[in-house]
Amino acid sequence: MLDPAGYERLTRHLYDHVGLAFDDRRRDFLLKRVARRAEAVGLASADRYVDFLTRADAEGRELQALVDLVTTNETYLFREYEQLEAFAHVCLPELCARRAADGPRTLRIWSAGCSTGDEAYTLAIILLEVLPPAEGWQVEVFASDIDRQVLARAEAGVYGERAVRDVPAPYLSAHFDAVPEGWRVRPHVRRRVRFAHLNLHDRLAMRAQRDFDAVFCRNVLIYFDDASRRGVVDRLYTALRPGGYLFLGHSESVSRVTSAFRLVRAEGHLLHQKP
Amino acid sequence: MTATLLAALGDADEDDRLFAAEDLAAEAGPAAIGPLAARLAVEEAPLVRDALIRLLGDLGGAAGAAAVLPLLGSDDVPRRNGAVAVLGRCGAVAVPLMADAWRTATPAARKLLLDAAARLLPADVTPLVRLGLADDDVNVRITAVELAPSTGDAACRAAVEALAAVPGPAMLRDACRAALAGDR
Amino acid sequence: MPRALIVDDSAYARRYHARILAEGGFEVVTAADGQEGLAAALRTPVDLVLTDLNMTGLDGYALTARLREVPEYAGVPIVIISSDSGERDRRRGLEAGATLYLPKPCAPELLLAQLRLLAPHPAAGA
Repeated sequence: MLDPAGYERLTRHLYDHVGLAFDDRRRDFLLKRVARRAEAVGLASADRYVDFLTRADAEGRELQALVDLVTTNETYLFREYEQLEAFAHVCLPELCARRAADGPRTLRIWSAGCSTGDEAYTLAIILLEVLPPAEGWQVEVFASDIDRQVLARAEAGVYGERAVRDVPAPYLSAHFDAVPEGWRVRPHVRRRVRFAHLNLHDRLAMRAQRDFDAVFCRNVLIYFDDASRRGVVDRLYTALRPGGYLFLGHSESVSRVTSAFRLVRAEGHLLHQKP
Repeated sequence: MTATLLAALGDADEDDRLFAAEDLAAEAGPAAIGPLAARLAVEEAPLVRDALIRLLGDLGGAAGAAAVLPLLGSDDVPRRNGAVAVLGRCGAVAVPLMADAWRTATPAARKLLLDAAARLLPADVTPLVRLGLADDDVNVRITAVELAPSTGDAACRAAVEALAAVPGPAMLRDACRAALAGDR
Repeated sequence: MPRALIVDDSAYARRYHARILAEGGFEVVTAADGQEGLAAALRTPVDLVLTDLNMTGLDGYALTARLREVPEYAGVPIVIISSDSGERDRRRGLEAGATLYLPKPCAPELLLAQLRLLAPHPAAGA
């Protein structure tokens, strides 16, 4: 058990170091994972674990392990596909026209908080299908996450049947190989995706990210409280080129986003566009 | 606090102004409040303005409140509402300063002070709600009536009852009825 | 039934105006700030917008100006209702694209009469 003061120290530590906020509704969720980490490092109680985490974890290794555990959620390829269709039908032609007019035929897309890479590969597949390389388009999907464990899985690019259940059959046969564990993303798709470790809360590391045409940050900011969510969105804004789009999850509130973005409607979806 | 960051707050590029504001807040802490509030008073870019409001709210406290109170009188709508957002995150320490500002504030600014009070803990803002219930301006009274029930304060309830008993504009009378009925 | 969107950061003011408009024959949707209001208007078309002025994020002027940039909202009546009721506030609202600028509080029958003049097919006396 963890007394209220210990819980407060734990959540403050998570907030101060990685910007993760836990309200009371997620208390049980967090405490279960704390218990798992306490057991893993051989500490007898959650209390002792919080002491260890806040006082003895100078290099942040244990913090990283705990963060890995609390930010994992189920993802799958072609999740919330309708929004991606709006991206392909409405945003891509517009972005391509803009890029073709003012420079090289390159597009840069960011999957921010990419988890096991499902969204990044989905985007790479869509871009391959919509923008054939023969037309000279070079596309880079940059995919980042704070969790090194999921990044390793993302780079492997192997998914079980559940994760590919929404992938259209022609895409599955064109872009995946059947392997004993399920399906592996083919090299021509993997080449388009670059994975990197990045903490969205790290304002200095975030500033190095520039010149994106679209940023996908869906169902990631729900882990942050209002102030740090706004901070992250401000940095995503600076990472976009003028005219670039930010994609948030369906249910994420538009009020928590800087008013600098223009809200635009595309095929029934509300998207944020940098003017 | 470096002179470079202070200078960068006035940079021509909005990204650089945003970065300078974030760095100042992170490196100088409460000492950044003065320069950030001064920038908020003139900043035009929505990106930077929203960020200044966020950062001033993060720093908060009595110093944060004192720095943005003058902006309530701003002619610029986003700036005065930015001050409301900051005050709403400054906590109970802001309330005496807000009550002080009340004495010389215009009716419009008094209404904004109550808008900020609505974002603070109800028990902390009782003094402001009492002031609002006795105000000359009908919109200030309506807002105070809306806040009154959550304070749980007997004097506030009595003031709402007194307002309900005299003739007045329909919206004020309805607000009193709703407050007394616990109609939330 | 014409659809009206009410945008106000005061929960009480939203309820109060929603009741008046509903009794006056409008179908009412509400939003608690300018950004939510803009999102609501873009998601489902409305025939009339009644918005407060002082709100954090996107204020009433900014909401009006952004709605006017959307082709579907070029001709939709947008009414700002505010306690800031000086001549200059009113002029600024009209410059932003508002159809009408009303002082707050506004007598219910007066509010309704003015909105009925603006809305497309208001069921008078409904």
